Amino acid sequence: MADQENEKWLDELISQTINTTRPQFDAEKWKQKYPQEFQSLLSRARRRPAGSSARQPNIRAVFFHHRLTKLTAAAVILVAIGLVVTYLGPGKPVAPENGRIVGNSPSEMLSMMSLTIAYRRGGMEELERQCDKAVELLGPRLARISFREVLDDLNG
Amino acid sequence: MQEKPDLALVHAATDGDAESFTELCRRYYPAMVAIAHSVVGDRHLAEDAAQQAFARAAVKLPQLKNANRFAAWLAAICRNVAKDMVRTESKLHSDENLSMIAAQPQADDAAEIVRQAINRLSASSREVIFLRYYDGMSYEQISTVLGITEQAINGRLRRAKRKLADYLRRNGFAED
Repeated sequence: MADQENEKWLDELISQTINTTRPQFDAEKWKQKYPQEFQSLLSRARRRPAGSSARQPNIRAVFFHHRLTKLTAAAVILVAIGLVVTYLGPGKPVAPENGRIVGNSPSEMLSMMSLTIAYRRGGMEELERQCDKAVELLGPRLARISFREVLDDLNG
Repeated sequence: MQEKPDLALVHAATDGDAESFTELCRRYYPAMVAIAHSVVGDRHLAEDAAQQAFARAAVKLPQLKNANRFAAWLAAICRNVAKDMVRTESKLHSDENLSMIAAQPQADDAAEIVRQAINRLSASSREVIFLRYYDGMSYEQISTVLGITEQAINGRLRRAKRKLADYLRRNGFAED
């Protein structure tokens, strides 16, 4: 409030200095002064076929301009992701077909492809089962084992 | 009667409707004159600049990508036209006899100092001052024309007024 009071003298000085009478636009004078530009404006109306004056709304502009449409778009994207995960994801773990293990040797069982197939077939449970089977095939091992021995075992 | 919204006028004008274009000119003329005045420093030149800006806009309107930003786009054109005018004028004046300019009657001293204070501001601050005091435009209207937020305008205006006040106090203006 005090600021506003203090600024009064300044407001008055600025207003007095700047010519504050509202300028009026004279369209007729402007058309006479800039005939080429005015004709250029009119020529666009002539180029447009009759009946096509209704402008197509810019869907992209309308879409991104309103907050509501942005939120709706985000919601639609989330629902779509949910549907994709539900139908194309691993889904509920299912019992493995005939309890078959993918791969013959432990190295094949633990390859990325075999693990992926196992996961698709039965989810985490099937994956765990396949890993257990691979470990079982390797048999009991000493607590201290060299890296070379691990590789030899894995390669059968 | 309710005024037609700017967006509808811009679309119609882009399609070549002269009535809509002149209505837009009528609406934005004071703002454009204020912007040009902040650059050229002369009311008559500013009016010329605003009219020339409308002429350029009439031709370039189909190039406008976002019709919602028509006012800010027009302001940018007007600013460029005014700057071109200043360049042309400065060339002309450099060729003129300086004694002729010196012989012109000096304006009121107080007004001259205020004018000097305004001229010392940055171009953007000067622009806001002119828009605010020329036609008493609201922050919302200034925001539309400059394409910046009302908060930014408030900040710019406050800083500009503080600088003006400091300069004027140093030059013997008292706040009474």
